Amino acid sequence: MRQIVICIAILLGLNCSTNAQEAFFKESLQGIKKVEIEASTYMTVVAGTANEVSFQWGSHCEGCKKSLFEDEDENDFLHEKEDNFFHEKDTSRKDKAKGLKAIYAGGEDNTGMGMYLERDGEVLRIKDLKPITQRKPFTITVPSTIDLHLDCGNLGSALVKGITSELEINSNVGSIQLLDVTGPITANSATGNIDVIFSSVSQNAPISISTATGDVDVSLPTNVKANVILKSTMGTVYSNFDLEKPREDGLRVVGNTRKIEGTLNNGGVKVHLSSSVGNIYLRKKE
Amino acid sequence: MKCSEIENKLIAYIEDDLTIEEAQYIEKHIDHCEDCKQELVFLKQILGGFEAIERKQPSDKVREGFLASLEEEKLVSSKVVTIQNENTFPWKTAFQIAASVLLLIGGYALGSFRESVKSTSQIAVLQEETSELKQNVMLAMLDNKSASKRIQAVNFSEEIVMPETKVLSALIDRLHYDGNINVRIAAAEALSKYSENMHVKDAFIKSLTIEKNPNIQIAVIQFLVKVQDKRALVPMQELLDQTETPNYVKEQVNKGIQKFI
Repeated sequence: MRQIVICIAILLGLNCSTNAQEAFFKESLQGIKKVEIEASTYMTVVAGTANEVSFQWGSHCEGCKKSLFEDEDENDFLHEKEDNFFHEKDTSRKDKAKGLKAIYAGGEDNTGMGMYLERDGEVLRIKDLKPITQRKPFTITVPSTIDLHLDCGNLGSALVKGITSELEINSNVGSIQLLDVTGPITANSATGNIDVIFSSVSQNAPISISTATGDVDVSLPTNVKANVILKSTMGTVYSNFDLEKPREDGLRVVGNTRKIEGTLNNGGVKVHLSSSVGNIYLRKKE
Repeated sequence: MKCSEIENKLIAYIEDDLTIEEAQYIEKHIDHCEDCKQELVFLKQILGGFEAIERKQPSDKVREGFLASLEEEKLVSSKVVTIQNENTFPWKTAFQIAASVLLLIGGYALGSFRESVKSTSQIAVLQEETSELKQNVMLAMLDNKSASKRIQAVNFSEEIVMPETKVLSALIDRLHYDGNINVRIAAAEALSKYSENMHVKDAFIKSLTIEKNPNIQIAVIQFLVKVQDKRALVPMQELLDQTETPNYVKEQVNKGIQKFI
């Protein structure tokens, strides 16, 4: 019996070690309160315990629901990039670059990984200099209490799990998925969908999520204290929270520009969800 | 025994209140003292007259009246007795305490009244100061690095009743130049409340020419259509002509142009 347990433990340990890929880039977060990352690729951000920011190839998000990174075809496509005509791993082309230094329009590569790194007071800025066509998805591990600002560029998208500090995320085309977060959150996407599942809601500062054509889908715990404002100019607002209060004069509110406002559990932090064309879904978290 | 002493005892003699010896002595004296004899006769006549007067009985009316008033008196006195027996409450102390409490409250009321009269002007000054403080806090927060805090500051401006021009221009700055789209959206919403303000209208017109985000473009168009600012027609036409303007924004522009009277 004991041997079996030991065997299982060893197997599990092996499994873990094979799963956990080596970080290709690490940076200490000593004296840093906010990390700003600008990258036009598929970013996964997870919470770690060490006071450092580390980058790994691939998407490693335990307990995440189906994400676009777990789509096998997508991954195959991305893995192919390693042998891509444009990719650095192309040995013959690598030889050509021998003795030369890569120069990027976005800034200087001071990490050797095609990334620009800068410390500005309490802010650590990391800028990916390579375009999405040359980047595989990567996973960033940061402490859960560090403030994050993710800029997904034109084509990048983001998946964030378990970060309980302030998040500021912008994307253009890509989607934004935030799981087990608390806010404050400021998220905007032009055409991407934004899905957020709150574990609880911080009352410190407002939550603001907006898209132009993407859908906004937010799940809040049923006991959350909040003042919600839902506005979709050309789309529809859906919710299973009891939001609309009957007007005192008994009339119905009409007009396509109207905001839907409501208080949850006597009100609290402001939660502002808006979209021009997309729909808004406000759900009770199960 | 002298006659005067005898005279003093004559009434007692008539009433048989004297000892036998005294009575015998008085009888002997009277036998040979004419004055005392006459005195005795006179006294006997007076006392006999008293007895001869009929004793008058009080009438029944008097009796009834007396009994009635007696009953009344009984009732009154019995009431007093019950109160005294059942209520051992120390009324005097209670009244003293009540009086002192009243005095205290009265004093406080008087004091606070005087204070309120005095401080009405002070409160006005304080309110002005808090309003200014709020504005300053808000202005400081608008420069915060955190986007959420900047949105909070913009929302905060809604609590300022009569914002000064510097507050409005700070909000306008956010609408035009904030790097975060959500902050610009919040600023547009906050500024929409000042539809009468000329600076705000100008700011929305300017925003229409520089803003690239469709959410804010739509919000700005909606505001300018609502306030019927015809200056918006030119930049709105420009948006229609630009190829990079998304179709749904163009749709809103067309809807808006129709609403101008």
